[in-house]
Amino acid sequence: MTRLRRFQVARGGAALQRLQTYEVPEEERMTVLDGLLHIQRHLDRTLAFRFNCRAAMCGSCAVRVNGVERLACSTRLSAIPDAAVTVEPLRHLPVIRDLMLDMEPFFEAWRAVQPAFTPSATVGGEPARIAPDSPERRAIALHRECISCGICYSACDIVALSPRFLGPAAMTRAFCLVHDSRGAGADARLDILDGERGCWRCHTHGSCANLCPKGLDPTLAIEEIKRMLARRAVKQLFGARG
Amino acid sequence: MRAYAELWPAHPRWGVWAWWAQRVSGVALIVYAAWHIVTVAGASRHPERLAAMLQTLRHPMVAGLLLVGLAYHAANGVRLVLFDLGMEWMRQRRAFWVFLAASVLIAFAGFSRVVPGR
Amino acid sequence: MRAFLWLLQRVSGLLLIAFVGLHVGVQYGFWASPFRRSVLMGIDWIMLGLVVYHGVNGLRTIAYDYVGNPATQRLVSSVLWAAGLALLAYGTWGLSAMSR
Repeated sequence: MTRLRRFQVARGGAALQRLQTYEVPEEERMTVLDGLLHIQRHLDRTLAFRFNCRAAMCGSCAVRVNGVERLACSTRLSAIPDAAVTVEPLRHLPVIRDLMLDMEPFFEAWRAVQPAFTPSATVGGEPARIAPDSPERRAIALHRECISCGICYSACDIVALSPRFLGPAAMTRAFCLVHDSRGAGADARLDILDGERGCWRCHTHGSCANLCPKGLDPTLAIEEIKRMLARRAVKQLFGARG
Repeated sequence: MRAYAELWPAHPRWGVWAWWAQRVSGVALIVYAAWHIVTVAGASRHPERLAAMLQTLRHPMVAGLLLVGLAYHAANGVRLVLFDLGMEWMRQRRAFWVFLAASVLIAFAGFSRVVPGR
Repeated sequence: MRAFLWLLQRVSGLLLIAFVGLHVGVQYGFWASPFRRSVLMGIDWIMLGLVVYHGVNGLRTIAYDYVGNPATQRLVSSVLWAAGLALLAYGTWGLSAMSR
């Protein structure tokens, strides 16, 4: 006998969100995404949400489950202790409808750090090599796997206070590129990270690192950025004098 | 998009409360320091104010509260600086308890120094 | 610039632990001789500067979290630094008045 699990899903547009209740038959190993799909197929065809890979690789299905940012596809109902499962959209992003968000502010911050690799001048000759055990490769190892799901951006208390704050994901991306010795643009990115939108607003709460579904640690990356900027400032001070 | 800045932390964990306590103790210490500096600086003109301030500071409750605030702010500050220097262990809850215990000891030591007869 | 403010907040904080510890721990009676008193006043003055910096920068950091507009931020920052400078000036005058 399958028991019914109560789902409370945010419905409506930006200003008018309310929670709508659905009773979803809970199967073994069922995820939150399975629940949303069941609602859409059998209970309410008007429910709007995003998903794609169903394997925690694309980042499309990021939502808040009982107040905590999760990927819907990899959140088992059996792992949720509460009787009701409340599904709401991520924080800090404009709601289009139901669980669908306008990701533009997130990607605006992403673009602001020059997120694409900027090659240095030379073309031709030997391909540049980065050894897997080189210090620069090891420095970014933890932080490469970002799927830009927006969970860290939603969890961040500073993003809550300040829409202009770049946020954990953008700064982690910048961190990876700054370490790439093949590329130009490290100084330009460091200047952006040093600016009023940048790392100095981070107070190392760690909500981002705590909730990243890929195990990234933006808190650590941002701490390393602060250290790099501090060293750079001291060098510039004494370099200018000496 | 947002009508107000959300003041309550989205994910309240011990680290966020530690940070709040750092800020609250910091602001309280600034208020105290300003009073202390103005009173001592004006001592040549208003010696009675200095005397009154020293009297107040000797009171066990005042001294105790100040020392607790100061010791917490200092100890947690050291933990934060160590984390900033790269010591990741400082992010653990256990590290916080160690530094909190240290701050209690410091406050205690200061108390017996400042309050006569305790 | 921001990197220096961040760095100096930590440096001043650590130094203040030593200075305030000394300030609370020292019995002023022992330091009666003029030389020792000058030393103590020098230490007090450095401590005053450190406290003003650390406190003003702390308040500024808190304010910047809640004030989004860059122009307002600059205004708040200016007011705070001005207040800090005034306190430093008054404290310096007070210290010199005590040494006379």
